[in-house]
Amino acid sequence: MNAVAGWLKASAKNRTTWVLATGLTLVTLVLAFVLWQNKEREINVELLRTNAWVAWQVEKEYLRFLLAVDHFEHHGGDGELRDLMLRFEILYSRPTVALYGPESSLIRSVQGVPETFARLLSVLDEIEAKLNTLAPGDTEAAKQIRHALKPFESALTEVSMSASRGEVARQLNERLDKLQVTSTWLLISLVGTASALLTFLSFEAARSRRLAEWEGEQRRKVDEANRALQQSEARYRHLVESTGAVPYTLDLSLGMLDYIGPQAEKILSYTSEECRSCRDWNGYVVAEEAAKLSAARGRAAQDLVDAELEYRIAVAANNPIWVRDTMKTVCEAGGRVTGYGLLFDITGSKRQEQALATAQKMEAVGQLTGGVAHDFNNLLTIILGNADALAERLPSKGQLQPLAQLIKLAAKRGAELTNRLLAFSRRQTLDPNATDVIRLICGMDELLRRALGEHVEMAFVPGDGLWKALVDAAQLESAVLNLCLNARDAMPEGGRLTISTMNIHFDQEMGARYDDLVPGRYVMVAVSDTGTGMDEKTSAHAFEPFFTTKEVGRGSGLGLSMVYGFVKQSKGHVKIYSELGHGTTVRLYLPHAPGDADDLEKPDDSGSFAPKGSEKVLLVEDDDMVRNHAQDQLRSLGYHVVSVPSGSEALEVLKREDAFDLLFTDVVMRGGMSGPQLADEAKRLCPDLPVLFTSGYAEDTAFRDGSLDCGLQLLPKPYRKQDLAAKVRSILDDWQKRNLGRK
Amino acid sequence: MRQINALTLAIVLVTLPLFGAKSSVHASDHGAVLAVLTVSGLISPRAEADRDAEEVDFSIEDLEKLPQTELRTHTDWTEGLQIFSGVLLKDLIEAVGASGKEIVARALNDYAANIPVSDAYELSVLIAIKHNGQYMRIRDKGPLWIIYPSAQTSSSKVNPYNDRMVWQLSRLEFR
Repeated sequence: MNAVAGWLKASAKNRTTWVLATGLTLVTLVLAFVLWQNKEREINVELLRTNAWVAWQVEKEYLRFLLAVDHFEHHGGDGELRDLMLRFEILYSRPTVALYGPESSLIRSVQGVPETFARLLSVLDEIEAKLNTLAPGDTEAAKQIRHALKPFESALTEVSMSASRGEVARQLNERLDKLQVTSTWLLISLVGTASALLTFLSFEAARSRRLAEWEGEQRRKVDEANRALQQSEARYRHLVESTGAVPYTLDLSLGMLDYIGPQAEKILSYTSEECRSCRDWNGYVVAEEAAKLSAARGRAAQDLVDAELEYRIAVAANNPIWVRDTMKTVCEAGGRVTGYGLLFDITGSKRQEQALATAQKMEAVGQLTGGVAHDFNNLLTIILGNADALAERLPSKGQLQPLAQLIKLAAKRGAELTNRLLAFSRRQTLDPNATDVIRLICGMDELLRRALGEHVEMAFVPGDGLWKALVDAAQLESAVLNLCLNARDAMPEGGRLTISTMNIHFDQEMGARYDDLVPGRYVMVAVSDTGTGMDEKTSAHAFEPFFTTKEVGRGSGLGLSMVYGFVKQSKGHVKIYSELGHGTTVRLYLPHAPGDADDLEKPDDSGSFAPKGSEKVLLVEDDDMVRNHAQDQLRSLGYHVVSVPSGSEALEVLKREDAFDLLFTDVVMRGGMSGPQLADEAKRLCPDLPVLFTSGYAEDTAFRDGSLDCGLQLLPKPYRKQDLAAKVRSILDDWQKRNLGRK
Repeated sequence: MRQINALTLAIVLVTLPLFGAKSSVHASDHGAVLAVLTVSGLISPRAEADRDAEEVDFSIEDLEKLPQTELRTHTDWTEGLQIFSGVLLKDLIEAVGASGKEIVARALNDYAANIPVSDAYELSVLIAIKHNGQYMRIRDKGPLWIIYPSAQTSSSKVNPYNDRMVWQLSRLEFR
């Protein structure tokens, strides 16, 4: 059927030709049929002729024999008898032939004929018996013979008549008619079917060809449209991606986020679903700027104006990112107002701007101070030299001697001042060496205790395997002393001062968050106090020379400036972390000395691996954003997390359901109980529950109640996910080991 | 029956000369008149005595003196394989020195058929004397029967030479 269809399809191109060919074939078929019928008719005529002849022969020989009988009866000689015998023999052979010969099939089928012949044969048999004893002149026997044959006269005439005309011809015609009718119908139905099939197939072929053409056309159009659409879509997607921005659409009428690009997860650290779940990302915008954003959007929705503004989005604890939000406002066909916008992460450039501004300011101030100090040093040299000369020449007990000594003292103080100024302006002479920071601080112990006074408790928490720092040891000593004196001054009511040291490896990510810090290994020296702390504004200016919060006359305002100048000159970094009312931590990041034996340590190995777990963790943190962030991080590590915003709620949860494997709590929480207090209460409920503290400042102030021996652990903020993972895992593993041992 | 057959044959043989022509000769010299076949027309018998004769008569015995051939074949009047024996037409043509293109073969009744002389040479046409080893009675299509060999065992198709297979053969005329 396929082949036929294929042939039709192929020949459809030249339809006229093959329709003509088919027509010719049909005509030929009809002609052949007519000719075949004629031939059949001829054969039948021949058959009729031979049959008639055979039938006639029987009658003729019958008559001849009767003639011979007559001759014998009237003449009765030997010759007549011989003739009679011959005629008998010939007559005898005729019905036999008619009954069995091939030429007489038709007359045999005429009703009554075979019976007539058979009867004739039996009569001839009887006659033969008479003939055998026939003698010449036996007229009586001849009469008997004639009498016996008499009944056949009319019967045989009838047979030959019917053979030549009526019955046989009718039979023949019947046969022929039947054949003709059958074959005519066959031919008609054949031709009809063929032409119907042909018509149908030709229509079908034409129709399917048209259909295929139409389909092809449609498919081509759809393909073209699809291709154009894909190209357009890809073009805009690539364009958007090339900007590194997060595209979004916002239903301004409802204030609902319609769509936000998948880039959100990478840039904003919130997935598209998270962004959508809080209607828009207003919830993540830093509080003081959310109003600004809402106002801008409200204006856009009302006046159909585009909006462009910069604001911060809190993506993790402590370091919100800056974004520039450019939004085009479009009034859609349905009256809906949609904002099409792009969010650009401008944190880097913002931070660089700020860092540059700070650096430039410090640079300018440094140059100014350095220049002044240098020139002033010259003046002091002259003053001091002349004062010396005066003091020598004046009599030692003279009245003017004390004046000269006073000038000398003032000049010496002035020299000290200029030295400090020079230190800030990074123009002092440094002698950086591989310095063992722990030994250096231990050596300062006595000095510091004396300087801090009795009401300040001092603790030193040295880090394990501390690297050596590449710094000028004497200047570091003076910096640490400076920081300790500042700490003391921040704790007029007394308190606790903690010095700690630690190895820090800054990777790219951490380096970016700490402004212009070059990634690499650093030795951190932190000085924490439990004093009054600073607000953000104060800490921003803390390093500027002559900036002081102390009463006039109590400080020069150069302490932190000197520390800043020294650390920067040593290619390190200083960071202040302060919480107002709780205390301050100043961290010095000093470059580690290369070639150190501890270089073999590979801090990266522990950094890149974040061990997971499935234990149940109770998370307590008063800051919503930090809590959510910590919760997400723990969940992504596989832990089952229950998070609450305060100590009291944490205790309720602990009372309600047990089976927590870890309590993870902030140390300082506004209002209510602090982390250590919560830990004590929790111990009462679940004595075995391990506790992990986290704190953004004053690492060791958490332990001022002396509860260090209870196995409490601290994770300093900010922490990386790997740090969190490692710490949590190690606490849980230790606890499990202990429990096993106990059992 | 045998008695009857013998009698019939005798009668036939005695009767035959009645149909013969005025000047005819017998193929054999002995006087008994038992001719079954008369050959006439364009003939020139070899025997000196018969040379001018217009007809030559053959008795069964005369025919049996000519070369005998056996033929196994089928006919439309019989069933199964039949054995015919007698004189090949070409041998008879030889014997009577016949020329001409056509033979008119006549039967004891009025039947006659035209036989091209070429058939004798191309188809080994036989003038049968015996059928399955028996002489044939007149009622059995005897005494002579022209047989065309046929390969067909049994077929709905009629043998095209049926017209020329003259039985109760009595005369051959060469033209």
